[in-house]
Amino acid sequence: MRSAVSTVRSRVAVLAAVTALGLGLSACAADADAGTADPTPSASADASDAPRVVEHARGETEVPAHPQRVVVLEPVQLDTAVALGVEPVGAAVLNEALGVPAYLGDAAADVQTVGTVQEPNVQKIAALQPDLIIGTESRHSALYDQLSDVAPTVFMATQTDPWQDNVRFTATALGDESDAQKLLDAYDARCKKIADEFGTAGQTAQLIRPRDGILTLYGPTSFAGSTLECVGFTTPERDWENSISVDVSPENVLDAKADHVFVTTTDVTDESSVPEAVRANAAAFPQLHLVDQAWWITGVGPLGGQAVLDDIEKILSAAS
Amino acid sequence: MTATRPDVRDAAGTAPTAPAAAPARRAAPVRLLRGPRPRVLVGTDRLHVGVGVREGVLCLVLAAVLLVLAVVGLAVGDFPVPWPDVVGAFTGRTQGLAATVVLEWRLPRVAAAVLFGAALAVAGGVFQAVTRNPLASPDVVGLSNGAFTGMLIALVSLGGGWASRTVGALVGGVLTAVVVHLLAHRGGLQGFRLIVVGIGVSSMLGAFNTWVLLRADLETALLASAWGAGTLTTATAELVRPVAVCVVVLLAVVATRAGALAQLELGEDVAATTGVAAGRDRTVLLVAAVGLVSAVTAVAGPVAFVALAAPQIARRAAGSPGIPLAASAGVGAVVLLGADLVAQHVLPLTVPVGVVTVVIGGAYLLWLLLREARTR
Amino acid sequence: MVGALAVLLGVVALSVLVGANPVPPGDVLDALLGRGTDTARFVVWDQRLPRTLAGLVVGGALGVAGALMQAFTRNPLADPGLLGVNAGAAFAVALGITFLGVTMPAGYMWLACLGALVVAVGVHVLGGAADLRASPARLVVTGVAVGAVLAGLTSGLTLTHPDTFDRMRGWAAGSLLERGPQVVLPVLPLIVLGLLVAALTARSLNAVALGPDVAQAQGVDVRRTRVLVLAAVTVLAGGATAIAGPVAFVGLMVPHVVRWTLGTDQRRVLAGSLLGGCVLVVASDVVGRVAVPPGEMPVGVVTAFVGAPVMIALARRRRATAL
Repeated sequence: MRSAVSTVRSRVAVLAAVTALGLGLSACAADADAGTADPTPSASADASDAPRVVEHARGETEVPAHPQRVVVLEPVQLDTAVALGVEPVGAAVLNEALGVPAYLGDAAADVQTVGTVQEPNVQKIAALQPDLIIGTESRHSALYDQLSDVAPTVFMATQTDPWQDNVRFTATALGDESDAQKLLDAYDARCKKIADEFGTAGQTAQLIRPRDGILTLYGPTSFAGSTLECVGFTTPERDWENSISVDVSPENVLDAKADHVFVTTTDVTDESSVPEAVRANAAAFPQLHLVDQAWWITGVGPLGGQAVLDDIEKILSAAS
Repeated sequence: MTATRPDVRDAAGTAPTAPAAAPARRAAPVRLLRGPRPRVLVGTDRLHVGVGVREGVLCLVLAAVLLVLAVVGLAVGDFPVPWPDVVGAFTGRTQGLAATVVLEWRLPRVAAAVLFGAALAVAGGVFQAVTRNPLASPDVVGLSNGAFTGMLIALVSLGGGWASRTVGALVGGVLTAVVVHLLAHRGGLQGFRLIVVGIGVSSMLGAFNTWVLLRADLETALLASAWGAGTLTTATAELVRPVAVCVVVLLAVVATRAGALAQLELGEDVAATTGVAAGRDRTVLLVAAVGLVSAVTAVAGPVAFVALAAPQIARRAAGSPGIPLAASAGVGAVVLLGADLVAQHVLPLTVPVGVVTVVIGGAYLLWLLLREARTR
Repeated sequence: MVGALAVLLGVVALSVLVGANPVPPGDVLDALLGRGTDTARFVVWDQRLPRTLAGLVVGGALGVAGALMQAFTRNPLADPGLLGVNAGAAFAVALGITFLGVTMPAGYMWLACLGALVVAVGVHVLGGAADLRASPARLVVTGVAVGAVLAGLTSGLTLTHPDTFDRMRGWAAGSLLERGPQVVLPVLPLIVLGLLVAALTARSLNAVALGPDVAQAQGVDVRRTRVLVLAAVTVLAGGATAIAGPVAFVGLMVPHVVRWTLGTDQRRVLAGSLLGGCVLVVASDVVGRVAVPPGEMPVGVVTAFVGAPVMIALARRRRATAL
């Protein structure tokens, strides 16, 4: 009962995926190893209007040269797109009741919600008539075929890769790698400026996320943790078990000591968000700061990174 | 396929008294059996299924409701497809995205809702009949939690896409059922021990799942929990087809043993005296039920309450003393399809269909209980 | 019984001595006497002692609630959660987090109490608790149905509000962390009341266990017993859930083990379940502290891991008795 067109299209997609999957996977692996390598040598410069071929987790797909109506299914993709000046027509969000995260500002005001990150609504996406869809293989793999029927679809491998790689991938899909690199360079430059201005070298900083009494300490590979290291702080040494964070019992709260301790919360004005164990040992935590988890934990991307740097700058200038 | 007083006719397949229904020629394929409980028999003398008349009427009503719901499911959606185009998709007139939406997105989902709902309800009915406990559900052998555990392991440690998650769920569920069976099997399968062991294993796996969800990052935990509540978002065409075949085959297996199920419901001693090989039939039925639930759970996640509530709702609606399998299948299909339509179109936020089935199923069961209490 | 008391004391001692922070026993003793290092005093007085107290209260309440429930329904698989208490508490907590912005365990406690009590009363009314013609099975099925509806609603709420989901997954695991006196003491009178009522009904329960007709023949006011027992179960289970969140396995398993070792006299069963529940919860909490260093495993997860194999082993070894 399949129409001829979709049968042909799906066969082509399968063929492309099968023949290019090996290439795509090795390219992604090479990216992860190289760290800063340019992912698609075959992508043409911004000047050309011909459709480009993008390599992604599902093989190779032809995408329009300058996508006008983009749908993104992952927060880091949304952040990157808005940062690059491409306002998507639709995005899958974490919190459907709140919609697009507030920290993205007015530039994301007209983005339609097309469901949640874990359950995007393919029919809503189709109704927006996009010309490019960007998603994540580890989350949306079941929907790839359906999404491909609507518009050229590219998938990044997983959201747990280093966020700069995901930013570059999104930018490549949008045809704007050079601007993405400018954004990342601007972020690094601002980090250095803050480090020099406030003399953070040699100081330690620790990010804590309280979870019902347990203290989750975030390490240098996490988004906010890496930002803290970028501005010159060092995270106290511990065994991170190859993960972005480690859970610590409140009995060992003194393990979380550092020159600056940041505690994430949903309401920065609420002093009671600081866990009991920390409050009981206030003497060991002289520089304790409450920060908003909307961009310190879940706001991964260039704009989120700038928001974290804003907070750090404010805190350090108040402390000095 | 109602379980009533011992109806030796169904079990043995021969008629002790011969009304006009046994002439020298072959009997008509559909016969009406008169008597205190009028029944319709479909099939030959040797292999047939019998349906109580009241249950049969209920089945027809359910089928009609299902048809209406299916039409709604095909025609309504966030991607607007005009009504003539919906019809055109089936006749081949409509092309392009509209046809794809109707035939490859909505149709598999509607078909999945109907088949999975029926499968779950029948599996639940089998469990309730065999254990003679109206609160029994396939989760007694830890299937839901086991499938969730398998899926979580595939998600968290194998970083899996949907394929490995599906396989993980299938393996997890079946493995759990096998382990529970082995642990409970000590010189024969005693019902009470099976339930105790099932609850024990299920609780352990449930605790493990809670632990894994607690440690995972928020978005992954949300993804896993959405699946864990039971969802039809993953019911895409290529997944539904093989599962549908499995489900139909297993339903047929259960249907042919419906007579034995009726006897088992009355107790193993009674079953033995009427010539039913209780042990073997029970094993086959339970294995089929486990298979049905595993197949559905691998794709849609553990959909709660359909297996538990649908047979009870069907029993009360059909007014039969035992578990009516055909009506249960119908009720299950209607509940799941209705819940999916509500989840997609009525609720303002995206919720998995399992959340709606639990609320609908529980509320309706509650209403039936209240009504039953008032009339006593 | 004396043996059980000794085990309990041993477990309590362990709970003070053992934890995620390896404080030497000498320092622990010093801290108990008010001397010692700051760290030791913090660990003993701010962490371990409050947790031990909370564990005792929760464990005792759940053990007795489970024993009462099984005696009342004459079903050895009855669990206090069947009355919808856990589901009501969870729903109330989810509502509070989403719409009232509650974030602290003390706040969860009041919400959970309210939710548990309201839902339990509702289930009792709908299930005909005071109606002698209604069987306990009907009450249980009503509780299951109401519990399922509330669980579905809670699920719907958490899956659409990620912040609520984040907090609920911590609460729903059942934990004794941050359950200091300000959380336990307000509920304690309620739980003590429940225990007293349970003690009062113990003798009548022996008769009720033989069936309502036999009980009435023996001069027991069955209706009064039922109401008292259900009130006690509600208050005990609701109070325990209000403190620690749902710790479901205790009420199911402890009475079984007690019956299999101490016999079926309800007075002994209730007393034994009180002690057994305390032992199970406090011991599980201790295990949870050291099982996954440097983090901790919530007590609700550990009780299932600890209790389930024991229950399975017992089910395999003995002829499973009804009551």
